[in-house]
Amino acid sequence: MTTDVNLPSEATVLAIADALAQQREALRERVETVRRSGQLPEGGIQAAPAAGADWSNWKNG
Amino acid sequence: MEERLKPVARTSGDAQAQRVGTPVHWHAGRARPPPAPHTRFDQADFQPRLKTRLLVLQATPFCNIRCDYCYLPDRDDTARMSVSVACQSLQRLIDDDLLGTQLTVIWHAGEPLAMPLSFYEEAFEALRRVAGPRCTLIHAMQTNGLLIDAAWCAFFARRRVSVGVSVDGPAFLHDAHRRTRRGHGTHGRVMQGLACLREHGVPFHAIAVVTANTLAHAEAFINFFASLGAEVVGCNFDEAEGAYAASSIAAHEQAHHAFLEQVFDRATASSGGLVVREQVQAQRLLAQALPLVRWQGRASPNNAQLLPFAIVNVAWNGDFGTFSPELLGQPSADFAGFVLGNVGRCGYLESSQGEPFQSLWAAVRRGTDACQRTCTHFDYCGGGAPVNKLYENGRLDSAETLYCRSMIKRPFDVALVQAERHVHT
Repeated sequence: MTTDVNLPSEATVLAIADALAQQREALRERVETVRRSGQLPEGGIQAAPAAGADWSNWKNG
Repeated sequence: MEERLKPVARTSGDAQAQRVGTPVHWHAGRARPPPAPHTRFDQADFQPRLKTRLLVLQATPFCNIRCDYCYLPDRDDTARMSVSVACQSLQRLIDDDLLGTQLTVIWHAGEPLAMPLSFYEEAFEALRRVAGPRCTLIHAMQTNGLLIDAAWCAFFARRRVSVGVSVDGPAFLHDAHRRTRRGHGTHGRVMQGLACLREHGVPFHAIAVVTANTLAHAEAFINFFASLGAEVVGCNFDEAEGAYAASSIAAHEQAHHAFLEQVFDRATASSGGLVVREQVQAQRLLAQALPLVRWQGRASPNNAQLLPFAIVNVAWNGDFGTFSPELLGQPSADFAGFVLGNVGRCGYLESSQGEPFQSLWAAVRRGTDACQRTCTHFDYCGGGAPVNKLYENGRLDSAETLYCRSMIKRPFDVALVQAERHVHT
């Protein structure tokens, strides 16, 4: 019988999942704050190409 | 599955020697694990209903120049697509109820202007007839710009073609990589092509490939594009994929972050004079969440590279694939060259019953699940890009890549900090 010593413990797996959840929540809160402010900088959104044109930007030729 | 094994091309130290036509082989040093169970594909599992958004038609694999970071495997091949194959590609979408009310057709992979103009005149007209009145076709071409002349400009204007020109910045940056077969720089001829577009009033966007060398010359890069007259500039980077084995950005991610900060700040200050695609896309994500797509009841942000047949890619001879367009035609015994079928012989949905599709779909799904389990930015991306997972991580069922960090996460984070600054002042 062999033992796989490389597998992380359940506690480690849970700790990693918890850290990821916290990072996601922190990011989500920052984004929500910006969205609520309605204060996105000008020069980007307004000048965005029409829907569909985005896809022509796929890759350099 | 074979995609669990690392491709040899990613493990050798001699990247330069492998840049031309490197097929993906897999290590034979250890036993291949047993195949994973297939992931069931049924169109009815998707909500909203699957529709094709982008039809990539590779009119010719041939390219008239030889950029040193190119991923294309067959750029010396002068084969040409027929109008009949182009029409079959669209007809198959109709037959499978994949055609919505609008479709972008992009002529790409190989240099599209290496085809005769008469081909496009005929193909555009034929495709319009096939699409019928209920679908608006938007044609787009991504060109290296060398062959643009007055006749092409008149065609672009008449047909309202969305034109993208590949230019890497000022000559010293551009000519370091974008060269003719004889090794001469192409910047001068590209600038002539751009002048022709401006003379004829044809709007265009630009796509630059940012390399490690660009990062040290951000100011020159910005000044060039601020005065170019492009509607928007996209900042790609030299991605490791296909025939190009290693990205120069990999060892310079902090510098890339600083570069993006500088570019975004200048673009913001220009009040629309310089529009940067990555900034616009990041700001859109900040302003509004990605729409959700449900597969078997599970919701995730809509990412077209991960949805079967949202992007359909057709080679000159009618061979087709889906997911990342760059995959089609790449050497891979394990995924049959990423060819799912041929429009002359079978439909897109019919191909979903075949082994190549089912292996690919299962691996792409596992890769999406991996992203959902591990990535902080999953809500703003939806699961990354299969082609980059394959060539960077050696397997499709993996998560983060340099591409994710450079094209999704870093632009998003820079735009977020910028927006926060704006909110707090």
